This record gives sequence, C-alpha cells and structure tokens, in this order.
Amino acid sequence: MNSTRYYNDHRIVTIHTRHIRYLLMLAVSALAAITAAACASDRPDDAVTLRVFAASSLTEALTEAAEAFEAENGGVMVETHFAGSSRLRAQLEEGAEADIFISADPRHVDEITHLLTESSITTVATNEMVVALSESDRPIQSLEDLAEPDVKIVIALPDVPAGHYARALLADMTRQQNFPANFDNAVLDNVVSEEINVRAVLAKVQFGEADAGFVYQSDLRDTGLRSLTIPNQSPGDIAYVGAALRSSPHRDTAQAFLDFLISDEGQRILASHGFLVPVEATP
Amino acid sequence: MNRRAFPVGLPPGGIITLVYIAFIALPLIALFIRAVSSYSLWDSLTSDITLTALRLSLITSLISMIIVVGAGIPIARYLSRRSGPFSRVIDVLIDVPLVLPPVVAGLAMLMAFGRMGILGDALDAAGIRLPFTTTAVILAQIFVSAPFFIRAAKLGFQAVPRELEEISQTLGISPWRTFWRIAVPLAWPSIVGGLALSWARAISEFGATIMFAGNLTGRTQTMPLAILSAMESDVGAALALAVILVAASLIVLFVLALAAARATVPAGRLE
Repeated sequence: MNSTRYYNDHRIVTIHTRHIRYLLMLAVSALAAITAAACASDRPDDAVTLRVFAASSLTEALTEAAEAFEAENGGVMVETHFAGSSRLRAQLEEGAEADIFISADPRHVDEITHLLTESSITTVATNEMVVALSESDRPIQSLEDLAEPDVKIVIALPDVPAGHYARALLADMTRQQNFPANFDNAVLDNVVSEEINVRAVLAKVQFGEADAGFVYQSDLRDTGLRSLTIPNQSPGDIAYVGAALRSSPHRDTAQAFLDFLISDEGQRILASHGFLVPVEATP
Repeated sequence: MNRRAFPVGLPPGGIITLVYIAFIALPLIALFIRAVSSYSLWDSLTSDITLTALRLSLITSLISMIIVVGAGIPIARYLSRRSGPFSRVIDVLIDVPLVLPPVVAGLAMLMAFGRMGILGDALDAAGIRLPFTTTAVILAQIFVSAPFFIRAAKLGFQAVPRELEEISQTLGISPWRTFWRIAVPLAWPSIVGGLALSWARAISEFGATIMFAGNLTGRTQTMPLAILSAMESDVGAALALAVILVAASLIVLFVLALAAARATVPAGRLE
C-alpha cells in the first residue's frame, strides 16, 4: 500500500528532489557569501589584528596612535571602536571580542577586572572637564550663568564618564562658598538633553542647538569653541585607564600597544590632541 | 501513512518561509528569555523611566499618526489620480525619507528647523524653538514614517475602479460622499496596512529623534532612546524596556491587522 502510493506520487517526489536541489543551492550560495564576507577582512596568517575598545573622547588621538603603532610594528593592524566607556563595558560584559579596553573612567575598569589581565591595567592619560560654549547669542560669561533660567545645557548620561564627572564637579562647586546654594540643581534643571557619549554633547554645542555642554578640554581641539574652565580639579581625577582583555588571543601585542601609549612617542601623540600626562589621582 | 508527506507537501517557498520565520523569531525569543531571567525585569517594568518613556512613545506616535493620516489621505488620493513627469518626481521625493539613514534625517531637520538652521531665525522670531522639544520628536516621527502610509494608501486608491466612482456620481451622489462611501472602503485594507507600517516606523524611530530632539526623560526620551540610555548603565533594564516595546508594538499591530481584516467585509459587499 505504502509503496504503491509512493510510486503513484512519483511526480511529487521528482519536484521534491528539485526543491532540495534548489534549497541546497540556496544554502551553498548563502554559505559562500557569508564565508566571502568573513574572509574579506582577513589578513595573511602572521598578521595580528588588535581590536581596541576606547572611550569616544579618544577618537582622534587613538586613531593617530594606532597608525603610529602599526607603522612601528609590521603585521599588526589596530582596529578601533569608539563609544561611551559605559557602553563599551556593557558590550564587553556581553561577550564582545576585544583585545584592549580603554575607559575614560577607572570605575568601568574596576567593575570588570575579572575580564581583564590585571597586570596590564595602565593609566595612559588624564583629562579635565570644561564647559563648551556655543556661538549662540546667549551670553554666558561665567559658570554662575549656567544656572540662569532658559539656558540650554547638554550633558552626558550619568553613567557615561563625562556625565558622571560633570555631575560630581557640579556638586563640588555647589559646596563652595562662591557658588549659590542649589547651584547644581539649577544647572541640571537647564539640561535639555542627556547624550550617550561626550562627542554627542560636543556635537549639540557645535550645531549651536545647546548654549553650553560639559565636555573634556581635549574635545575642544580644532573646534574653535569658547569654553569655561571648571575650578578645583586635581590632576588625575579624570584618568584614562587601559587594560588587555583576559580573553584576548594577542595579549603580548595588546601589552605592547599599552606600553606604546605610555612611551614618549605615544604620549607625544596624546598630548598633541590635548590629553594630559598620566598621573595617579591624589587622594 | 506516508512518512514523506511533510517535506513533500511543503513547497520550497514554505520551507524558506519557515527558515525566515526562525531567523526573525529566534532573536526575539532570546530577548524575552534573557529579559525574563533578568532579576530586574519587574522593577524595570514598573519604573518611572519606563512608564514615562512608554507614555511619551504612545502619545507622540499617536499624534504623528493623526497628522500622517490626515495629511496622507488627501496626498495619496491626489497622487493616485496623477500621471506625468511632475507627479513621478513627487513620487520619488515622497520616498526620499525611506532611503535616508535616520541620523541624516535628524541632521537635515536640524539644518532646516534648528536654531542655526535655514528657518531658525524665522521660527525664533515667531517664538518657536523646536530642538529639544516633544514637538521635535513628533516632527521626526512624521518625517520618517509618512512615506510608508502615503505609498500604501496611494496604491489602495489606485486600485479603486474609476467606473465605480463615476457611476456613484452619475447617481447624484456628491464627490465627497462618493469618496467616503466608495474609495475609502475599497482602499481600506491598504490604508490600514500603510498605517500599521507607518506607526511601526514612528514608534521605533530613534536616529532622527536623538539628533533633532535630544534625549530627556519625560520630554524627548521615547522608548528606543530609553533603551539606548539604559544600555549605558544596566543591560537588564535595557532588555526589559525592549521587551515592553516589542509587546506594545505587537498589540498595536495585531489590533490594526484586525481592523484591516474586518474592513474587507463591507468592501466585498459592494461588488
């Protein structure tokens, strides 16, 4: 009975085979496409690709440092990925593959030391916060003006280093004699947008949409923006800390890159982009 | 029993559909599993930030859809009756937001309506400041979502046989009434389908919003922006928000699908 039916269905079975052939072709071409795409970025066997996750404020400086490192080390290619340090940390916690993590805030390194080779943890630079001012007609002459009504202020999200530092500094200022009581709340009330990284803050100021934004002084390089300095920042308060990932297959190369960043050449590049020398925070 | 019935009975299109469904469903299922196993799901569901963002998303997308439909139906109707080089150019222009990366759309809107934008001074003189406002969120949503609606509605109106409307008018029924009693019911499935697509695009809008409207809880932080912001601090909260957005979207799409299905009945009766 079965076999008869099977035999009678010969036509369907033929189509069936054709379907399978079609599906096989589809599967093979999909596989080929994926393999081709995956291989496209591959380098010769002896080449090492170092993937660096770094704070967005390092964008230009680290891109230049990576090129210099590549030039010194034939066969090494440095791939950079920039975002807010908090985002990078979350991506690493979710298993993103990287060889080096450079955070704008040591906290984000401390939180994931289990993913990092502890001996490699290095402070590569420091920075200071400033208030970038747009070329708007809104005259902001002093930090106190930031608390005036209707000033449009942008700041990074509280968990992004630039947002964390800015809020901490505001709280600091409020405790000082020469600032009005509740200064920090008045300024935070003027916040019109919380950005996901410091460069997004800078962009809003550059477009002139916001009157002022909390950024690093290094971010202002080549922007021509006016800025206000924030008092009482100790050297090393804002430290860029790099480390090699424990899961990295190129830990030696990763260490070499971190060493390069604190070498004279590396420091010269970072300094040319406005970064300050790595010092330990004064307690 | 024919044990080969299953693969034999399923045409290749069916098999590919199954693979495709798995491709779409697997990430969503994974999202739900991770969110449910995350200890913070319930806290996130009921947190102020979640509820504020969800409310803002629903309200802004509702207002956007009222404007998109209100303006989109006359536009679609107008374009459905035109053919010629001029209307073909308009057709292409209307589709432009579809190919723009949303961030570019947001940037373009800033250049036009921002404080330093082309219309900045004029808007300023009128006392209107768009960036960083809820209005900017709505404008961004309209910008990116309207083409989906206009396209679908136009195709719907084009499929309405002209003779039906002509007969109706020879019977002395006003063009307005004819439009509502003949054209709209016949085009209804396309209108609702377009609305669903358009709404889906509006509620998921993100790139243009963060560029043009910024990101502030209660004012411009819609669900996609809340998810992005949560990613900076707590992946669990981001997952919970994502699950809520998916669930809310499925509910709305389901309701719209029901509306489209029901509407085909009176339209069928007309024949």
